Amino acid sequence: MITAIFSLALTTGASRVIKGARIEHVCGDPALGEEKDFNYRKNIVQMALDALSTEVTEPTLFEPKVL
Amino acid sequence: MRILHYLNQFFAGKGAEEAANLPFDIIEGPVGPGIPLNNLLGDSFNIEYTMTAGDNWASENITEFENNIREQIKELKPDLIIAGPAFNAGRYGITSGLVCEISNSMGIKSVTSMFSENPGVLSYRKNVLILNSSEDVKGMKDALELLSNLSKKLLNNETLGPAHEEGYFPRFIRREGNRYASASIRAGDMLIKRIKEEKWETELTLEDVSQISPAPPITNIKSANLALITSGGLVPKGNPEKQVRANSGKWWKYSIEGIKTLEASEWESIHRGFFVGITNENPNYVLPLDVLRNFESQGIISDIHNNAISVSGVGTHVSDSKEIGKDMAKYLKSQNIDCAILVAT
Repeated sequence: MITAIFSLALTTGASRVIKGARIEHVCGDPALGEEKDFNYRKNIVQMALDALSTEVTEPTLFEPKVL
Repeated sequence: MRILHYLNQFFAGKGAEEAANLPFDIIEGPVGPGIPLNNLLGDSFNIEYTMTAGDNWASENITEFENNIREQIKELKPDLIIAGPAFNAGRYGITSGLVCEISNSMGIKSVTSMFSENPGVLSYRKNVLILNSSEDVKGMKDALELLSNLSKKLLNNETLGPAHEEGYFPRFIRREGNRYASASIRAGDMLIKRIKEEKWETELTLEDVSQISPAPPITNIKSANLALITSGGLVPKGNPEKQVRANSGKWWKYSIEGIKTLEASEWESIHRGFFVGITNENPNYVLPLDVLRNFESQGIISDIHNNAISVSGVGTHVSDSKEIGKDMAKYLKSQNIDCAILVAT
């Protein structure tokens, strides 16, 4: 799960939680400009794919790099 | 006696979702529902200040929010803090619970009110006094009455009765007392009621502590069948299938076959729980299809399911969420999907 309200996701038991940017733009940040926004989105999605490939035993947070 | 009241931006009259990013503020006197609440409290007790913050701002700037609350408590030395009522507003319930938790940790009594399914209950019920409220503002009058009654008891240092009598969520605190008869007699009475199919009440409720075991990891993401899901209320522009904006009991799927990116001219979010302006300029924020197609072209992944799954995840009852989740999983399994990415707003 990719979400900006990650602590709630962890508390309610989501196993693999990827930290999103903000509620209004979860997968990216328009303030960064088109190119950096797309890169941020790539980092988030790549982290999600990595999380899917990672063994976890309890709700686990994954934090992608912004830049 | 000095009372501090906490309200979110909406109840403080600053606006709805467009004001959700407003930072912490403090106003003199009662505001919004604080006004009738203050009247109910009577002359000896007074809401002297109202603290407020935008729901998004408070959720995303938790440390600063906490510091603001602590500072005000230190400076104003209130006798009681009341937060909400938050009804079923999730972010608001969580910040209300947090305000009370901070208050309690600083030795100041506090109370809040929210609907049973508000995530604030799950997060804070053990340490915070949370009164049970209706789901929405239709129950404002009752919520304020309960808040005022409990507040007066707290301020008068009265011992609170058990949860089911006073109307708050049980905090799992045990106190000594006398039951009407010995356990064997009470058990017999309970059994007789059940046999006669009369209304009976258990003395011990078993909480649903079902934890979901994490799914095993994907061994080869390159060849995995990946599905995309969002609870951001994504729909084709114009919402042709009339997906509901909140309190959803169903979910929808939309074809993304051959689509390289979610264009603002073709897609939108109808989610009622956050300001959708930014997402509607770039729907990829709520379902990152542009990046996934990019990864597909690079060979990082190879198989994106043709249908994107969408639901507007706001005000969804927990029981409905469970059913929706099970149903989605059933569909995904029927399509031989190995894994999914879900974007939650």
